[in-house]
Amino acid sequence: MLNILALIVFFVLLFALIYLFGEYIAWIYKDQTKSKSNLPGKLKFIKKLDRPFKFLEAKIFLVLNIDSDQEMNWKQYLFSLLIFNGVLFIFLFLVFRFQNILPLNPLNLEGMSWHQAFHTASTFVSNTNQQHYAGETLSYFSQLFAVGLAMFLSAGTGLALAPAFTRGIQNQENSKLGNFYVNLIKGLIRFLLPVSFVIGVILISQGSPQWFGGEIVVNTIEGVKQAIRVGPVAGIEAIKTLGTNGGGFFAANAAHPFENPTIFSNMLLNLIMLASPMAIIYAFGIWMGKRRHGVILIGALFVIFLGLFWVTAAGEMQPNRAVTMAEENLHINQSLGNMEGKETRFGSLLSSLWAISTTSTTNGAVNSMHNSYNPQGSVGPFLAMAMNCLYNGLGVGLLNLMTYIFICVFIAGLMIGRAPQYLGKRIEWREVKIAALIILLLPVLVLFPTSIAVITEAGKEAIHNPGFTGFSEVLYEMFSAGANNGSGMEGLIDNTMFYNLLNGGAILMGRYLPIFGQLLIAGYLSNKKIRPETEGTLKVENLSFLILFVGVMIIIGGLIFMPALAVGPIAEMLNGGM
Amino acid sequence: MFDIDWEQQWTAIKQSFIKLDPGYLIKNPVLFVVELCTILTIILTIYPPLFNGQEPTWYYLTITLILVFTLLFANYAESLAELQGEAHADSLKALQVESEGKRLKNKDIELDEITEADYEVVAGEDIEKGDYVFVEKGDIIPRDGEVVEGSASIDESAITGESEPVIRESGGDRNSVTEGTEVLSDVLKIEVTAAVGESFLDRMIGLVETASRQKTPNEISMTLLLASFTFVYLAAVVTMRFFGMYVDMNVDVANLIALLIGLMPTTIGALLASIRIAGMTRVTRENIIAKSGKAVESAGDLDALILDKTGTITTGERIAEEFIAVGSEDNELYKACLQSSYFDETPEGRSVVNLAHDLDVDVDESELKKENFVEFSAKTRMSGIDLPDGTEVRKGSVEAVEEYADEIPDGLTDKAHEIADSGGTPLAVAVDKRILGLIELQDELKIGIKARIQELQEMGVKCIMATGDNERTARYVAEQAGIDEYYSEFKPEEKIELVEKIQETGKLIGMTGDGTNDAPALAKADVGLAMQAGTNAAKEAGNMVDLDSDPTKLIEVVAIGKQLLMTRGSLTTFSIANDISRYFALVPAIFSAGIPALQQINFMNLYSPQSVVIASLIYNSLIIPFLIPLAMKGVDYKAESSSKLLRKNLFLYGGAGLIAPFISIKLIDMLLVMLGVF
Repeated sequence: MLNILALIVFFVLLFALIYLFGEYIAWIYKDQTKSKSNLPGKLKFIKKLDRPFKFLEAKIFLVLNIDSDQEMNWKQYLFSLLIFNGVLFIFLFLVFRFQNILPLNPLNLEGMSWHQAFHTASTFVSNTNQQHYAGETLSYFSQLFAVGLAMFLSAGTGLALAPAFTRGIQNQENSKLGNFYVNLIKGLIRFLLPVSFVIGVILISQGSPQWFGGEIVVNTIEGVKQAIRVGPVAGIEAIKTLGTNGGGFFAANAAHPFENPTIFSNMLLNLIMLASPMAIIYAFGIWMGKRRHGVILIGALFVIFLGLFWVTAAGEMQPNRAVTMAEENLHINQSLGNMEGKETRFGSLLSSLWAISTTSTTNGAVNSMHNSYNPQGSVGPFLAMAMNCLYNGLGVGLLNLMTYIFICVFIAGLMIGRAPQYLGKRIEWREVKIAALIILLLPVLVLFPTSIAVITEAGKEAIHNPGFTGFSEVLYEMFSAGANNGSGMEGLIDNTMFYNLLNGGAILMGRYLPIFGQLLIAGYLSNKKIRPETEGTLKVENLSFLILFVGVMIIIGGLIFMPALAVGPIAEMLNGGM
Repeated sequence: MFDIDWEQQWTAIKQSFIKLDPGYLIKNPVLFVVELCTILTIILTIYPPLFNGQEPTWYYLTITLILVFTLLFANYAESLAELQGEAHADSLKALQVESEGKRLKNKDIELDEITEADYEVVAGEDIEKGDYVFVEKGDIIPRDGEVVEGSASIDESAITGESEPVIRESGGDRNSVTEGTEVLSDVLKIEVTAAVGESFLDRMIGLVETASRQKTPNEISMTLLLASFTFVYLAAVVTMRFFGMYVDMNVDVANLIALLIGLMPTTIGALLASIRIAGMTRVTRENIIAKSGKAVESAGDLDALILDKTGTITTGERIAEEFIAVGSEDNELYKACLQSSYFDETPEGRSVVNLAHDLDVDVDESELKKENFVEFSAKTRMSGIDLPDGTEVRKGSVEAVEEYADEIPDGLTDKAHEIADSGGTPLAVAVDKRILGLIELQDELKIGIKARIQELQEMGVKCIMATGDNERTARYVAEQAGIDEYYSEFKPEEKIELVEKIQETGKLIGMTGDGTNDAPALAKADVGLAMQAGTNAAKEAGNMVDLDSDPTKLIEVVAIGKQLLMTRGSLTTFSIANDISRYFALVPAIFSAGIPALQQINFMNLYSPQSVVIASLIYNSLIIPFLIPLAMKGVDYKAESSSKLLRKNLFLYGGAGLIAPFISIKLIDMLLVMLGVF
């Protein structure tokens, strides 16, 4: 009962936060999206922030020589984004490779191998944060100036795509989508930096460290010395969560007491993790002058979210079969559900909530060991990633959602006897073709690499668990890379050239090919006329459309992976949970 | 109802086999993949060890046969639709009988001077474009052309099915004549405008045939979408072979093929072409020639229609509604009305007689002599009759009669204005220069037009009326018909501006037209329905031609276009929803060899993995012929708002798509067990 109450409070707070973030982000990009909606009366005070922000932005534009009035078409926008990310990628690669000769390395940590540096650079530049290294092996310089910087910039890149895509729909025969650098800097200055700062301060108040002391060496009660790593944990943790990044400072990620010290910090981080990508979708509704549409879109995905949460929570509330069987003579109280690989301060319910939250977004931070989940519990995260992480990443989540929307609009439009049209823009064969190709990408990026991994020696070497479990781990790793999620099921010895290159490649393709496609769609749409709505045009705000959308999401997104899952977690589950 | 054309069926079946040619099937990616799978199962039947096949030969053979039938059913659906479409086109072709023409030796000769010596009778095919031909009563027009001189009434029923003869005359909008039509009276001098095989009819038949074979842009999107779904499922199934190897499970290739066929959108893939062709044929059945499938789909998507008042909303014939006596006795007026119109053959005149008969007006018919009838002339603008006693009975426009009369009775002008305000036209009637009263003529709304317009508006299609009439008449008719936007004193040349203005706002617009001055607007409009009776320029410009020359049919076309799109969307939803059942039936069956626990998902309690595979494939194959009638007829269509339509079709076809395979597969499975197959 208390659990249910806690969940209700959580979701109420979540929606409040989506509202707040959404309205705020919508306000930030009001001009860039040519939006006509204003801040609601209660939030008008936000406008006071405009002047200091503007002042700061003007200075930055001046220093970086950015002409904020110069607008880009889709090609220029994509080109700027790729150049910017390309430079960032090279920088990250060099830092990780040569961190041994760079400053701020009090523990004299080694540089990464070239393929690990490639994988790590790919994963941070793309906002994925799949880690084939333990956080402890990174120097402060790498943590701060590579990981920390990339967490801001990759999140900013994603965020900057949302207003550009919106312009594609908002434009009346005009190819300009806005200025990438302006959108990026506005997102950083007005949203990512200040909000991260606030979160960081709260985390510090909960006990997260934020200093550069290297290690604290303590004598334990057993009389041995233990070296405890500290660092700028609170700050990294804040942007890691807000920017759908997910790469932990420590190998244990958000299960580590320095990253996520208390139940309060756990709730806060879980809220932020969900709220930031969801808020962009709400903001999209605001930009289009249809708040209700944004709510419907969030709601549709939320239905799936709750379903997955139920599957996982119900699975994790069960006792751990292995424990039951192995310790028959011991009396282990498993009334709290499966506690293997979970923190006692979070318990199985909140760990399940986090697990679904982190895979329903491209966050990928974990606060419990997904490998130790009961098979039923692990089906939830698998399916969430199979639907391309539902809410996906900051900003790109909107683009991902739109891909499915276009497919739905196409089918629904036909069903009402109209040529398909979305918010006044006709969806024709070019848009459908690209949307279909984007949807095709995830199965390709997951299923083919998994096949390669399970039939080659290099792939099989890394698998240490037998049978279905081992297969699940490989499949999970590929999902995590292809869907840009970044979480790991672990258990796989993945820091090998094989996995570094395979996953790194999938990560880059999983990030930039859809961005390319969706900007192209935005480019096509921006040059079209807006057809006014009539009685006959498709209404995207009613229940029927919502049902269709959920249906398409499940059938085209999730169930395609059903045969693969049948060999992995579903087989495990039906075989008695071993 | 069950008159089956066996010959057509036989041809369709033959074509189903011919279309198995992979070169042909590659145009349809879904069916092409099915064909590739069939080739694989054939190989498996002959040489099972190739893919490490463990199942008995009869099993592979059965699967092969079912797959072949799936392809044949799909081909049959397309062939049948094509044949039915061609059947109608052929009936048009039958009109082209061997003809002769009277070719003029001298093009400059005046029409009334032509004698037998001035032309030579030649075979129809020898007449060339640019020749001048002469036709007279009883002749068949040898080739499409334009009237250079003369005016004649022509029976075009062979093409339009309309028995009412039409007038064709030089100059103006009614100067085009069509091959195969018959001259009923008078003579014409015609310039031939089409070469052999290029006449309007030839081209129309050609257009219908090529148009229905071409994919519409919207269908291309659908094909792309289905192709990508197919590829996704292909990836999901092919990789299962490797996954199976990893967990030491030999998943039989034939079973994987069954899973792939089950997941792929084969149903909609098989019916896509027949939906299009059948939609086009529905248009042809309405006696409308659509030059492209795109035009038909655009019609379903229109936001607004520009409707002419006369001929579209109203019948164009003014009918006497009431006799209004002004300063005289009713009887006296009624009698005069009947007398004046007794020999008047115009529709207006006939309607006056009819109204008089309805009012039981009596006149002495012996007094009325045909030779005393005074025909309408442009000078007097009146018609009437002179009685034997010399009494002049006259009717005509109010102004004309006022001029003719000695005095104007009180209240006449007011009454006349009143009639005009209600959209009518007043005629005044006078006897011996004394005005007795008025005849109120009303332009009648076409039967059912108001309901149709209301339907359209409910569907979100705005109706705009354009008329050359004055503001008062326009407003009245618009109100009567339930139209809220109208343009009065509208010139045909202004249509193009109106079309452009509406298109600026992003709307798709449809219109009808027949005149040369309509042509630019017809070409510019998203759907331009030209009238067969109109000029060639109009027919060239429009993307559809109505052989019956009934502009109201634009509304029909909208419905057919919507129905075509809806059928495609609904069957796609059905096909996609089918997938759910496959996960519960096929996945456990196929993998249960390696993962026996998966049988727990088999809640339908199907007999054995083999029976599930066969049952699922049989369902997949049989659902195609089962749905052919729906694809051909189109889904039920009622004018409703978009939300209602979506709800209805989503629940009907999505729901059926979810449930049908569960029930069917279970039934087929039971049947197979009952028959002792398993």
